[in-house]
Amino acid sequence: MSEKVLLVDDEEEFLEVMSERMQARGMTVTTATSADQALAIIEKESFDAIVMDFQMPAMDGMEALKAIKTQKPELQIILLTGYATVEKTVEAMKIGATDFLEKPADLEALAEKIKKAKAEKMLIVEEQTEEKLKDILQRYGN
Amino acid sequence: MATQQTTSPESGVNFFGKILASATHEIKNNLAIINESAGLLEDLSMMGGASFSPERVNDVAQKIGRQIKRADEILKRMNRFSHSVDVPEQTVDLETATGFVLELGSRLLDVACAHVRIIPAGKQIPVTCNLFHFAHLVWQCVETCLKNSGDDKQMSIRFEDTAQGPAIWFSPDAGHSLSNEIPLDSGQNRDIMKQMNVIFQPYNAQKGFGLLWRNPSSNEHGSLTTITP
Repeated sequence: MSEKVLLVDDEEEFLEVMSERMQARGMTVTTATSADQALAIIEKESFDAIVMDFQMPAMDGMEALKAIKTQKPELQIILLTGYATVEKTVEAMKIGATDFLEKPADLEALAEKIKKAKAEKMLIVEEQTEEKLKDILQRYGN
Repeated sequence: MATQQTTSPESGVNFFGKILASATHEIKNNLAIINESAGLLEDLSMMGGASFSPERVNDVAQKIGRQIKRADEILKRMNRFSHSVDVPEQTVDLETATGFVLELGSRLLDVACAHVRIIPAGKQIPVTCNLFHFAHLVWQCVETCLKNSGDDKQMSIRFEDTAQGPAIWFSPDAGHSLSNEIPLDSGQNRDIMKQMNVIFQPYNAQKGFGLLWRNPSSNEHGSLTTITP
């Protein structure tokens, strides 16, 4: 089954080319040019991974990361950045980023990270479902 | 015990670092697009057939060309900025030099969703200054003004050729005024302004706040240096 990815970057030409290449590798790609737009999309749709630029106008990567994790904690976010300092990387990982990749990124490496993110998300969703089932059984099982 | 050296927030080195970091980030974006475009050409050539049409190749080549042009413009600006420390003084047109500073910080302004409007002077107003210190002072004034321009983050810059000397004014738009914050209020800025013969003009509701160059006699100005942002 193909990975469903939300690609977020304020550079429209980057979105065009990157999404075309990802689609050629079997991924289903939706694009957003801002964090606000991305937040509106994830409200309606589910994704295996979000690949997001770390520095965008209005809401930067860190703020966007916090907002997405608050809205959908199970979502896996891979941050793309021009330059990642160790401090920023650690901070982003603490907030819940799945991974980091520096621009220009190697698409094969990114595809690998997206696959891993999808597997991670499936585990989280399975755990959540199990928890829900346990809760239902405890309430109504006897 | 190790001595920790810190850079004060208003230092020139700090300003240079901020501008350089933003420019390199922008160039990384250009490189990312060039990289993916090259990858796309590779993908298309492997797919062959109708995907690898001359129109498609031309479209991707144009994308690459546009990004190279963008990166080249950024590098030219950065080169000009780096050389601004080469000469202690040069005579520049006030509006052109201010435009150059805004070009240097364009990515920072975009990220902040800020809009700076330059009201044209309508004529050349020469100022003799150290271009690096000029850029640093103007950028600090822009940052202070934007900080006081509310959520709109809109401000204007206007120029004046007064009897006392050339002046540049910074004012927040949309009815905002400057709070108690005094721009450029540091020992280092005071030293630079003294060296550049600049007097800080406190905020007033009509003009905003500004910088006034004490007027040298016309023969004290050198020939105007052309700035190509």
